[in-house]
Amino acid sequence: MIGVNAIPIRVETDVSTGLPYFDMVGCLAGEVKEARERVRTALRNAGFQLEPRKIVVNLSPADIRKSGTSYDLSIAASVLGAYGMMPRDALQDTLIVGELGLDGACRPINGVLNIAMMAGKEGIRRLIVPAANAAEGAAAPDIAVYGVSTLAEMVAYLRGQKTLSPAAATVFSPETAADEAGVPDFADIHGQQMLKRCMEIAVSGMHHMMMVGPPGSGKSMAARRLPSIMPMLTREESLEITEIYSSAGLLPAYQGLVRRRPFRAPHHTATDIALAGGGRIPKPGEVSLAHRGVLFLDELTEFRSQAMETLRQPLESGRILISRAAQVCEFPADFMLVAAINPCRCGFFPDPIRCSCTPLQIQRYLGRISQPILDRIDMTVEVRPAADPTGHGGEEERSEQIRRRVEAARALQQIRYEGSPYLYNGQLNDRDIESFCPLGEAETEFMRQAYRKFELSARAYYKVIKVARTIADLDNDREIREPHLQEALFYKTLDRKYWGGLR
Amino acid sequence: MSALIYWIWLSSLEGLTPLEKTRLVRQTGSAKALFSAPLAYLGLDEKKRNYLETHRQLDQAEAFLDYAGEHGISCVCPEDAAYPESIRELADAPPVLYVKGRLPREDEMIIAVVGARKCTPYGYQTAAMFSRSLAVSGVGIISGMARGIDSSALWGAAEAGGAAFAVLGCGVDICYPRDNMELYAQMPEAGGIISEFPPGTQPLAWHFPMRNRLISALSRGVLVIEGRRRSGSLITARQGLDQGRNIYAVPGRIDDPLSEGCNLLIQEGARLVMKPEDLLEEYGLQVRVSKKTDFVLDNFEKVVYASLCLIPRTPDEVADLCRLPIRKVLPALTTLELKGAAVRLGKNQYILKV
Repeated sequence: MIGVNAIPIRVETDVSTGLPYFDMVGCLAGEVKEARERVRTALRNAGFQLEPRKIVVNLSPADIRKSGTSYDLSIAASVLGAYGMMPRDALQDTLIVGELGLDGACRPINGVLNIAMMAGKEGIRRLIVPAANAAEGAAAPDIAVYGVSTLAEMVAYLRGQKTLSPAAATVFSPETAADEAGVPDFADIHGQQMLKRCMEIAVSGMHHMMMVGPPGSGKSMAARRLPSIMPMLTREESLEITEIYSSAGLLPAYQGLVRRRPFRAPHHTATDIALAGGGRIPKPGEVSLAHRGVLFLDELTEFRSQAMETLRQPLESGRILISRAAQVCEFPADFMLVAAINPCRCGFFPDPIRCSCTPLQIQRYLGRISQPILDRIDMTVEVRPAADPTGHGGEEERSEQIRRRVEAARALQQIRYEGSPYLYNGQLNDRDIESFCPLGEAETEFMRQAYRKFELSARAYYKVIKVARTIADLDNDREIREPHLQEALFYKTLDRKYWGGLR
Repeated sequence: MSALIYWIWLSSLEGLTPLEKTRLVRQTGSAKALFSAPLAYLGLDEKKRNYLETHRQLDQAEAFLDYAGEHGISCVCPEDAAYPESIRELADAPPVLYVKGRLPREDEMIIAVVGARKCTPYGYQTAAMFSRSLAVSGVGIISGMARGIDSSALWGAAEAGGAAFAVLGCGVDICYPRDNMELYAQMPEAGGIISEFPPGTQPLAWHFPMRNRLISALSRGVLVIEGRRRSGSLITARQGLDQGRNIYAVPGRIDDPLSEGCNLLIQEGARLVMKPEDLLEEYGLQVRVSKKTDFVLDNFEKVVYASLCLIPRTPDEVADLCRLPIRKVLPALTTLELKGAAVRLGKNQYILKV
C-alpha cells in the first residue's frame, strides 16, 4: 500500500536440500520479517508437517519496502505450494492477503478494498482475504472475493477439497444507503431559519462556510446535521471513501462500503500531521477522512497556524500530497469546510454591556485565522442562540425535504459544468466565473453599486457571484437576478465593518 | 525671547499640578517672572522647590516650540487674546493650549457631548443624531474623541458640516485611540484638536479626567448620552456644574447600567432631553433638525424596515416579526443596508439608521 494505492507483490518460495533453514528476503520491515515465525507456527498448528529443508522466500519487486501484516497468508500458501502440498496451478491468477494467528486463524487487515480494486484492474481473477474483510473486498468490481477464516480452510479450498462461494457484492442503491438509523436530522434544530438557509445554499454549491457565534448557540449541533442534507452517496463516492477508511484501518470488520457521508470534527489542538496525514508510512489525515463529507473546525481561531496552513492545498485542489523520505503519496481530500468561531474572545460582541473586548482585541482575535483560509470561505453567517428553544409550535423541515432541493440544484450544476473540470459552483475559479455566471446589465450595475458601498475586494466580489449562482440554482432560475445577489451579499465574509459597523 | 517660551516651559513641568502652576503665575505675575523668581518666597515645599530649581532650562521648551511650528500646531498662552476667557477664569487653567486647527471663538455657541466609550448602538446613533441636528442649527460640538459616544458626536457634527472640537488627554500630534485615525485627520478642518499637554505626551490614564474640565469650560452646556454610575462622563458633567454650565442628559431604562449615570444626573436636577429641540429651545435657537430620508423602498423593504429599531435584531427575529420567510428577509436587509436605511453590526445584526 502506498497511500490509498495498492501495488501487487509476488511471493516466491524455493525449497532445496541443505541445512534446515527458513529465510525471507525482499526489503522487509520488522513486522514482515516476523511473519516467518507466525507462518511456521501456524502451518504446524494447522496440521502441516514440513520436512526440514532450506526454504527461501522472496517478496518481489525486491526494491519496494514492505510493511504490514498482510503477507502472512500468501507466504504460507507459497511455502505449501513449494513443498508440493498444493496443486501447482491452484495459485494461478490468485491474490492472497491476510494476517495469521499462531493457531492458523486468519485475522483481518487494513486496505482490503484498495487491494481488491487494484487486483481487479490488474486482471487477477481471484482474491482470498480473511473472512472479516470479505464484505469490504466484495465491493470492488471485476473480481471474485473469497473469505477464509483459517489457514486450513484456505488450503482445503485451494486443493479443491472444499467449495467456497464468492462473497456477495453489496447491493448499492439509494434505498440501502438511506436507512441508516441515528443520523441526526435538521428537524431537531428549532428556529435558526437563517442558519438553515445558509447551510442549504452552502451544501448545494459546496461552498465552504463559517459560523460566527457565542458558545452554546448551536453551531456544532447544526454542523453535525450537514451530511444529512448532502446528496446520497453514489457508488463511486462510497468506494473512494471506503478506500481511505480501509487504508487507515478505520473500517469496522464485516462491513462493506461506507454508506454515510463523513463528518469529521478534529479538536483544535490537532497537529498539522493529524489534519493533513503523514507518518513514516503516510496515513490519511482528517482532511482525507472528511473526503466527500464535512470537515468541521470548531474554534478555528484556536487551531495552531501551522495546522491551518495545511488546509490550503486540499482546499485548492481537493487532494493532498504527503512527501516523506520513504515515499510520496497522494490522498483525496475533497471536503466541505465548515468553520466556527466566537465573535470575540469573550464571545459577547456586539453587546457592549457584556463584551469587554476593544476593537483592537477583536481585530487581533479574528486576525488569527489565516488569510488564505478566509479567502476560501465563501459564506459567513452569524449564529445567535435561538430566542425560544422550545420552538414556535411550527413543524420544522426534515433533512429529506431539504436534501431534495439540494439534489435538484446539484443536477443543474452537473449540466452546467458538463465537459469542464468543475462539479459545483463552489469550485469555480475567479477567471471562469464570468463565463459560467454571466450577469445581466441591471445586475452588473447593482453589483457595481454594492462593490463601492460595501468596499468589497475583488475576491469577495467573485465569491458573491458564485454564491448568487447557487441561490439561483435553488430557485431553478437560469439567470442570476438581483434578489439572488442581494442574498449572496448577506453572506459575505467578515470585513472592516465587523468591529465598527456604525462608522 | 518672547513670553510664550516661558509658558511652554511651565506647561512642560510635570512635577507641578495645573492648580499650583496657576497659583505661582498669579503670585509672580507671569511665567517669565516665575522662571527667574527667587524660590524661597513662593510657598512651595522643599521637594517642589528642588524640582523647580533643577528644571529651570528652556531647551525642552524650545524643542517643543520648533516642533509645533513644523507641524502646524499653534501654542496659545494666557497672554494671547485668543486664549479663551472661559478657561482663563479657571483656578487650574493650563499655561498653554496646544491647538491643531482652531480654538472656539468667544461668541461661538458650543455644546459638549460626552458619554461612554463602550456604548450601545442606540447610544452611538443617538449621539450622532443629536450632534448632527445641533450642527445644522449652528451649534458647535466639543468632546473628548474617545471611542463610542465621543467619536460619534464629533463625526455627526463634522459630517453635517458643523464645528467640532476635541480635547485630548495626550499631545495633539498623537491619535488616541488609533482606530479614530479617520476622524483625527478630519478634525483640524472641521474645528480643532486641543490639548494642554505638550506634543509627544503619551495618553496616560490620569490625563483623561484632567482634560474633562476643559471640555466643560469651553462649552455652554454638557450633554451626557450614555454613562455608567462612575464614569468619566459624569466627571465632566460634575465639573461643568462647578463651572456653572447647564447639564443635559438623555434618559434610559432603569435596568440599563449604561444609562444609570444619565438617570442619576436627571434625578439630581439635570435637564432631561429627548430630542435636539429640547436643548436648542433653551438658547432661543431656531430648530433645524436634519432628517435623512433620501431613500426609496419597495413594499417588502418597507415591511422589513418597519421591524427594525435601535436595538440590534437578528434576521431570524426580523423574519418572525414580519412573518416573512427568511429568504425574502435576507435580500431586503442587504438592500436596506445598501440604501443607507439600516446599519449592520457584527456580522448579521441590524439596527435602524437615524
